[in-house]
Amino acid sequence: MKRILLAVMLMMAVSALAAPVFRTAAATDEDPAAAGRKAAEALKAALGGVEPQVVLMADCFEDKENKEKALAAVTAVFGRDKVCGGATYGMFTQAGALTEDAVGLLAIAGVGVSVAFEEKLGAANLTLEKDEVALTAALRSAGARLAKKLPKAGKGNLLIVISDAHSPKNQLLLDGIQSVVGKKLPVTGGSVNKNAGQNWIYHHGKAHTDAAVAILLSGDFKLAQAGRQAKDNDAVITTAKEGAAEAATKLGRKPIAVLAFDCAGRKGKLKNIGDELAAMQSALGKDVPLFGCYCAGEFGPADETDADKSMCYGRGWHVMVTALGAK
Amino acid sequence: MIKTLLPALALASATLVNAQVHVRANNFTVNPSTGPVTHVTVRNSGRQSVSGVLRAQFPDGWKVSPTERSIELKPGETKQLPFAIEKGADVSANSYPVRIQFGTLDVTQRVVCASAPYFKPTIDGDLAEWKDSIPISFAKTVVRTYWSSKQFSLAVEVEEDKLTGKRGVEFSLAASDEGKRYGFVVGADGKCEGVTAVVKRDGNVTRYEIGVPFKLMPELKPDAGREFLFSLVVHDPDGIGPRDIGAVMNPLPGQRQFEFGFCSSIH
Repeated sequence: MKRILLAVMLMMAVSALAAPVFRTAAATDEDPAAAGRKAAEALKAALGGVEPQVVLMADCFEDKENKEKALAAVTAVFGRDKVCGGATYGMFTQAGALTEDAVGLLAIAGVGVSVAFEEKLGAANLTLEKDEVALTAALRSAGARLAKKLPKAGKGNLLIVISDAHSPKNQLLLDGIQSVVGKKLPVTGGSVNKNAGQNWIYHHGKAHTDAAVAILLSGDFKLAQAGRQAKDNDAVITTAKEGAAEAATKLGRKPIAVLAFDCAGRKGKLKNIGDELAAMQSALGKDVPLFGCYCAGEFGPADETDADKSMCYGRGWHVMVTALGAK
Repeated sequence: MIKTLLPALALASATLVNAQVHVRANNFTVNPSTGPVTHVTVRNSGRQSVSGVLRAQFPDGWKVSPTERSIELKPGETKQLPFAIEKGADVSANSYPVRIQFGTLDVTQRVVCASAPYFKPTIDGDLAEWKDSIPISFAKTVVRTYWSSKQFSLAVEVEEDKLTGKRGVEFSLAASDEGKRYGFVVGADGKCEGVTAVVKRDGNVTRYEIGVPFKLMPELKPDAGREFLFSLVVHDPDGIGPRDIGAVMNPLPGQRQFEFGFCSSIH
């Protein structure tokens, strides 16, 4: 009996790592439970029977009560243990951008996945202006604790971090993470909505503040990253296209998926929300699974002349693009 | 809702450069510490084209790029010159010196951060919840703003000794220069159709706490980082007279509304 069980478990593991699968879905509805349910059911259909190892969720409902209803609807489909993510200012997929009363989902399968969660970062109500020393110590320590919860953290291909530590605090958290995983591990992700009462991290079916979640991906896939910053309408559109094109070009093959953690400030400068997505898709094509969300800080390559191009940073005003491809 | 035009007050303009060119350092619409792009407005009111290099110098210790821009203006033309604040710092007084040099012009203007952070206060006349707002002070008056998805909130503290006459706060919002202007007048009795307002008196300070549903202003789409136009006048007929927020916004001739921003909560 034990042999049969072991064989089944091995087959499941091989199946899970057979080929990387990234699928996205999003839905909008004034009823947060309906939005969560629609998005989850659409994602399930897109997966076509493949069981995801993790589902990354972004929402843009107002108030914890509504966010929890959306979260519950998603976990009802995929299970509490597989869903993590956070509150954002909106999201986009290859199907379009949603900035009000919406849920966006990214399912990941076929790769190695480790998820770590850290609560009580110690950053709540502290500001860099008044509490720089305490804040720096707290976030660096929390980042290190978070990374140490990832088995073989330095061996992964990509680390996705979702944190309640907005720009410029996000760099302090990343400093702590990189003290454990090193500075060469590609990192992407974003900071959750920083508005009062809206800053929630999702993990195991619950909403937490002053927290962070990290998803380490490993396995048989390639990736390439690009970061671009901009602060006005035209530049936001131009840099989105440039960032997407650079990541896709560096990847050297058609992406199987693209992640784009984008700044809410950039979104605020857009005269037409869809223009930035259209610019990215002009470089990527419209058929590539794309998962993006608008954040209060982004992780990835910094678009700065003095930045080390081989490292990732925590920044604001950026779109951080990660193109993923088969090996 | 009462729609009125703001009175044509004679605001002191700090923008006159010479006989034909005016300059204005625009308000910051998010906190300078977040590294926004800000603008200097230049208007040629003369009959001849003007050209040259405009230099903008921000507070000590800030890093701004570029520090100067070449400009050419036809008669009647107005341009907005962008300057990216790469490193800035917030000050509690919310007043920042910006020196502008253009040709023979050399002026220093005080600029405010005019931004409404996200928050949902209870409109009850108690302003304890407003500690995370960004105050703008002028003429014994302090104005604070907040926003949420459904409501624009406004707190106005007016230091006034006499309580006679038709007192109140008159303000307007618009999505853009071309957009509809939504005007409101909240009297000392707190009455204004469609608006929630509570007015309380504490010593010689009158406190207005006001909530305006965005459904009354359908062209305004509140979102972090998005800008809008705002004006406000406090009516105090038996005191120091009308108090216009434009007094601290270096208005160009004829300018009645000023750029504001919706921003994320400040912590």
